[in-house]
Amino acid sequence: MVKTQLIIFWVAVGLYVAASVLYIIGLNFKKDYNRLAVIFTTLGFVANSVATGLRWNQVGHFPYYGAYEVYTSYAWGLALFFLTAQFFKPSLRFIGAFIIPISFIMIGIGIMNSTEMKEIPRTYFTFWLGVHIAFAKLAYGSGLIAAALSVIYLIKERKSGELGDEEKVPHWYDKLPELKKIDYLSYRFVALAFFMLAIMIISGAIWAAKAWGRYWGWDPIETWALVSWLVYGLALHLYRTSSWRGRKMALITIGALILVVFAFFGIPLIYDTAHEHLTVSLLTTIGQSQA
Amino acid sequence: MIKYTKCINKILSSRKLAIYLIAGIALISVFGMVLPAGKKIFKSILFLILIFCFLVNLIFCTSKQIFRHMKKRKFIGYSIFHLSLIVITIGALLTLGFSMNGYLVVGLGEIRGDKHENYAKIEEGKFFNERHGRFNITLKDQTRYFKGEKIKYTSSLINIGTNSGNQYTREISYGNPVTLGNLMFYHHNSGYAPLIEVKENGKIVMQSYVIFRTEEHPNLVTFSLPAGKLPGTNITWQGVFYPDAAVDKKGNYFNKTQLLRNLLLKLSVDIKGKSTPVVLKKGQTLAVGGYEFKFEDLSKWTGFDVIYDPGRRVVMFGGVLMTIGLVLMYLPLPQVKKKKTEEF
Repeated sequence: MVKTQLIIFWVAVGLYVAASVLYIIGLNFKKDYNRLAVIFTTLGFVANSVATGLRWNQVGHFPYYGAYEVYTSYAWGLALFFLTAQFFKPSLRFIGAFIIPISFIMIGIGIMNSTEMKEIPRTYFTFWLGVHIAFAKLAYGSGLIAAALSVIYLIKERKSGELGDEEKVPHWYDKLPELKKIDYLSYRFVALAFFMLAIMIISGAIWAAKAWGRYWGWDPIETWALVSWLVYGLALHLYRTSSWRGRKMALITIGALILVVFAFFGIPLIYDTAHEHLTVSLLTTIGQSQA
Repeated sequence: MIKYTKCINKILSSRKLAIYLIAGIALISVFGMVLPAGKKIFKSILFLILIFCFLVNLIFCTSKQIFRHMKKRKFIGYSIFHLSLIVITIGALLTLGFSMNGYLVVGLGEIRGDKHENYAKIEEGKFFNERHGRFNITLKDQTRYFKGEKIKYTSSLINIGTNSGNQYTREISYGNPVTLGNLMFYHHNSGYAPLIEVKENGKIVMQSYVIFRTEEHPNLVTFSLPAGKLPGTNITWQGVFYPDAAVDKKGNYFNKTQLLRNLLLKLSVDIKGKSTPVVLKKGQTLAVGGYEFKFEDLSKWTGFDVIYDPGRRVVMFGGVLMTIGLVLMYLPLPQVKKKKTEEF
């Protein structure tokens, strides 16, 4: 069963790699490869879903415990979020060049970890944990897309500063939306990330209250999630009230994503937290890669 | 006077002030994680002042928003969201000031009252003011559920009597708490309490159930008595309880399983500076240095986290409000959609 999962995950990785290559080629050449890239992304997502479904069947719950399950399911969530976003807004397809590589890297990290089924603490058997995890994935997806748009904004802004009047404009420059539109889209995804993080924190607090008797304990991961949420809130306030647009907004958005990624994946490596199930496996991955 | 009031109102309802306060809270939270002082920062006066200023600023900003944009549907979501922040902050301050979090150990059949001295560990809010005496708790039964030869989880049947005269009998286990109003009972851990009789020159000096501490390690659970003075004597002792004792090749005792099969008590008794091992099976007696030790019986105990938190419900209500506010904020409005199409 595990062997089949791993093979299908590798198939997903291959399809995501192909999709990434097509997104990148599509940016750099005249011909539009985005539609083909979306097809490969969808196929990769289907493979990712099948493997995730097999793991779900094996463990009896949605895969969320242990680094193997966390990383592969986050990759699945990210691909789903991107596919949904580009379905409603086809102009966002170019972001696949940034988002889909992250998906296959996350699957890669996941499958390098132990696939051992672990005993889940009884405090994890609650509806609120499901809500918490779902909105965590949505928050991560929104934050990532907002940050990707910010990176694109900075790259395009820099290039527009370098371009002279008669200089030939590269294909990718023209294929990307206007700076103003990128900035606005980034702001919208920041707003979405703020919303998702809020629900994630609320559901996490309800889960903590039921499990341990306190809705907030200044646990490192709780605190960093709060800091991330506050930074997104700060970004929204600055955008609307102090006209922090463009480059300033882009930098704060990228900074906020770094906080989110650190909160989800970095904190369990450093501190003892309620999300300790990530710690050992990640250290094992680092140890294995060094051996 | 009116000029000063307007000036103060302008400062306190300033969005720029809100931005500085949010940034300040985020920074202090980071310091709280990074610095060695750690969680103490979150209970410090500076942090409390910051939260209080944030609350005042929130109240002024939200009031201004509500009065200014009362009729605009778009701002209902924003107003509810900011109102929820006020409610959550007030709830958090109530928790900080008036809550109590204690660890209470209750033996099988024992009744334990809500008294300060009964708690093994206790943390009280600054304004809790020793308001104990709300309940007493009786451990009526304890059941261990096994997966193979390992304990999967333990559940306890408890009776809680409140100071209003009501009696509640509930089953409690880890992850399955009991809530009575603002009081919450959580199953923290459980263990064994051997009944030990000690005689000195034929006279009983101690006969009681002794709580052995449960310590969980990866793949191993131990039940130990830390070093201490044997009550009623001048000797010190420590020990380990084995529910299913076995001996390895080196002659050391270990637990074969977590089932209650081969009960064994291994004590180390220090009499007049001389340390002597005392190994007893259930019902066995052993004489050492003028003392007689007997392992008579075995009982159980459960450790409960008892939490009194008047801010919890306020915060939860704030969470519900926040969710409603966020949903209303993000619900797309027809006129906003139309504007976007024209712009791009």
